[in-house]
Amino acid sequence: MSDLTPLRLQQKRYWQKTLWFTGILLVVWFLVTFVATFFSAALNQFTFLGLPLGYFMAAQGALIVYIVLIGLYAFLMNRLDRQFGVDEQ
Amino acid sequence: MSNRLRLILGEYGPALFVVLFAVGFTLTVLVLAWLEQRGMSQRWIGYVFLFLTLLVFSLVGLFTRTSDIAEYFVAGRRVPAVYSGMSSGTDWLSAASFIGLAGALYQSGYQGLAFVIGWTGGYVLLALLMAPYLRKFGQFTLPDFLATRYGGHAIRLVGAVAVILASLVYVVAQVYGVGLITSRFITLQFEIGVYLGLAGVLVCSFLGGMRALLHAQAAQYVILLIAYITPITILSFDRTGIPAPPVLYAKAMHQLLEVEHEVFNRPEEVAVRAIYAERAKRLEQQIDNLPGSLVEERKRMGDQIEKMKSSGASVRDIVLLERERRALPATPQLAHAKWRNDLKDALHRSAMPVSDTEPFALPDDGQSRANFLALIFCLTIGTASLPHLLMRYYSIASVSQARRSVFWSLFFVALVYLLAPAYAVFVKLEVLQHTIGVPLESLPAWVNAWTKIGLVSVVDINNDHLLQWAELTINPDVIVLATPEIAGLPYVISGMVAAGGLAAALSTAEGLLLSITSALSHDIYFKMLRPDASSSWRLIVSKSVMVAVAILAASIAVQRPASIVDMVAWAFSIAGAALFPALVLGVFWPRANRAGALAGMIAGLAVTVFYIARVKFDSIPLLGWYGIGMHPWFGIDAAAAGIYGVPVGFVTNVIISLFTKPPGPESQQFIERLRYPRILYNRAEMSGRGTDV
Repeated sequence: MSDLTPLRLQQKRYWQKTLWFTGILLVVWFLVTFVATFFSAALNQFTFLGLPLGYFMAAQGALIVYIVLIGLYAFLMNRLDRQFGVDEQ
Repeated sequence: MSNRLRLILGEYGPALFVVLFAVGFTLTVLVLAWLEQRGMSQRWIGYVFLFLTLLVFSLVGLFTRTSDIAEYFVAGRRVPAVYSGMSSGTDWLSAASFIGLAGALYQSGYQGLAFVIGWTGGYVLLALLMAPYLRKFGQFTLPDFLATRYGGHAIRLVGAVAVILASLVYVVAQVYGVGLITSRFITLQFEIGVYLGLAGVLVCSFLGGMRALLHAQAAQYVILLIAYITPITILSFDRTGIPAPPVLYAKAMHQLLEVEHEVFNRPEEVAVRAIYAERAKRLEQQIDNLPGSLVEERKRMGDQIEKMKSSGASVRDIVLLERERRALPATPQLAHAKWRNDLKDALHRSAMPVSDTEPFALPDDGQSRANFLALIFCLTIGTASLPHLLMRYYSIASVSQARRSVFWSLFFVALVYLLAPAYAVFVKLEVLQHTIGVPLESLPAWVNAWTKIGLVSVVDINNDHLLQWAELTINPDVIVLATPEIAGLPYVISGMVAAGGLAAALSTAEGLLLSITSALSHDIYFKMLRPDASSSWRLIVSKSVMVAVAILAASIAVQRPASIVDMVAWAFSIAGAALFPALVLGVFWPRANRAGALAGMIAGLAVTVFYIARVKFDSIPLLGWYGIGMHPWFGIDAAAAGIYGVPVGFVTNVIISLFTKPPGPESQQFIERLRYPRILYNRAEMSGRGTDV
C-alpha cells in the first residue's frame, strides 16, 4: 500500500487497531455469554461466593464482566483517539 | 431547567438536580411513613405516590418545554456521559425489568436468567458496534442512518416500519404494567389507571421531547432505585442480619435449597401432585375424544346435579356444580383450546418443582438448553437494536462521551439487576416458610389482597384445608410489588415500590413513544412526504402523532392481550432481525449495498414475523386465515424467533450485496467519516474544507 499518503496510512492503522480491540472484546463476550452458559451444569459443581458457579455466572458474573468489557473498550478507544490525534477537541 | 438556572449551576446542574431530588424523595417517604403511623389510609398513600410520579413528569416537561427541533429530538446534542447514562438506563429499565425479572427468577429459577444475560450482554454489542458510530453520524433517527448509508426512500420506509412495529409491541407491555400497578395500589379501575399514567407521560414528552425525557428519566431513576433497594435490604437484614442482599443472598439460597427439598418431599405435597397427574391424564383423554367427550362431560354433570337435587345435597354445592357446567366450553374448538391450557397447567403442577440453581431441567421439554441459548441470542441482538435505546446516542455530546455513556448506562442498570436474584430467593423462602402447610383461613393478608385482583390463586384440591405448594399460583409480576407486604413492612414501602414500578414503566413508555413519533413524523412525514415542511409545523405534526400513538397503545393495552412477556420477547426478535444486520454491516462492511440491505431487512423481518405467527397462532380471524399453525423448527419457541430471523437477515444482505453493484463513492466516504471521531484532512488535497465533519 505504498500509494497511500502518510495520513491515509495512519487512518488505516487506527481502524485496524479499532477492529482488533472490538474483536478481542467480542471473543471474551462470546465466551461468557454462550460458552459458559452452555456448560452451566458442569460449572455448577464448583462454588463461588457460596453459590454454584454456573448459577453465579448467569445471575451476576456475566453482568460484571460486561461492565468491565464496556469500561475497557471506552478507555482503550478514547486513548487510541488521542494517540492518533482523531479525538474531538 | 431554564437557561438562567443552567448558567448559575454550570456543569454541576444535573448532579445537583439528582441529589436534590433524591433528598426530596426520601423526605417525602419519611413524612408519609410518619403520617401512616398517625392513621393516614393506605388509599391516600397510594394517591400521593401516583401523583408525585406524575407531577415529576409534568414539572420537568413544563420547565424544559422547547420548540427547537434539535432540542426536541436530541436534546441539543450536549448531554454529558454520566447523566445520559443514568437517563438511558431508566429508559431501558422497563416494567419487565422492574416487576417482571425477579418474578421470572422466582417462577423458573435458573431458566429466568436468560433475561439477565440477554438484556445486559446486549449492552456490549451496543457499546462496541453501535453507539460510537451512531453518535458520529449524528442525525435524528435510525432510518436516517440507514437512508444515508444505503440511499433511497425504500430503505427508510422499511426501517421506519421495523422501528414502529418493535416499539409499539414494547410500549403496550409498559402501559399494561401501569394498569397493573394502579389497579392494585390505588384501586383505580385498570383502564382509568392506564389513561391517567399515559396522560402524565404525554405532558412531559409533548412539551419537551428528548430534553424533557432526559431530566425526567434521571429523576425517575432515583425513585426507581430507592424503591427497588429499600425493601430487599430491610428483608435481607431482618432474615440474615446482613444488609447487603446482592452479595450475601448465597446464605439465603442455601437455606432455600434445604427448605425446598424438605417441603417438596412432604407426603401431602406428593399426594397433591399425584392428583394433578391424574387430572392431566383425564384431560388428555378428553382432548383425544373430542367432540364426543364434551357432550359426555355436559351429560355427566347434568346427571350429577339431578342426583344431588334428589338426594337433598346442600344448595351451595348444587349451585357450584351448575356454575361449573355453565362454564363448559360451548364448541369443540373452544374446548380444545381450554383443555389444552388446563392440561399444561395440570402437568406443570404435577411435576416435581425444579431446584433454583439447576440449569436446563424443565421436565416437560428436552429442548430447554437450546431454547435458553436461543433466547439469550435474541435478547442480546435485540437490545443492541432497540430504536428507543439507540436514539439516545444521538443526544450525547461527543463520540468519546458516547462510549463512556454506555458504560454508565449498564452500571445504573446493573444496580437493579444484581438485586433481582436476591428478591426471588428471599421471597420464595418467605412463601415456603409462611404459607405452605398453613391452614387456608390463617393465610397471610397479602394472599387475599392479591387474590382479589386475580394475580394469586389458591385451590384446595385435596380438601385438607391446608395450602400445598402445587395449590398456590402466584403471577410472577406480583413478586416485587408484594415483597413489602410479604415481609410485613409498613404500607408506605409498598407505595414506594409501586411508585418505582410506575416510574420504570412510564419512563420506558415515554422513550418508546418518542421513538415511534420520530419514525412517523421525521422519517415518513418530513423526509418522505413533505420535505418542505417548516420546522414549527414539523413539531406540531410530531406532537399530534405522539398523542395518537399514546391513545392507540392504551387502547391495545386495555384489551389485556394474553401474554406480556411473550410480546416483549417478540419486540426484541423483530428489532434484532430487521435492524441489526443492516446497521452492523453498514458500519463494518463497505461492500454492503442498498439492494442487499433492503433484501436483508425484509427477509429478516418476514422470517421472524412468519415464525411467530405460525408457531404461536393457529388462526388469524381478522385476515381470514385458519389452520396456519406449524410445529416449531428444532423445538425453538416463538419467543426466540430471532434465532432464525437474524441469520437470514445477515446472509441475505451479504449474498444480494455480492451479486449486485458495489455502493458508490458517497457511501464509501460516509463509512470513512463514521470511523474516525475527527477526520484529519491532507491540507493539500482538501484545501477549503474544515477539519471536522
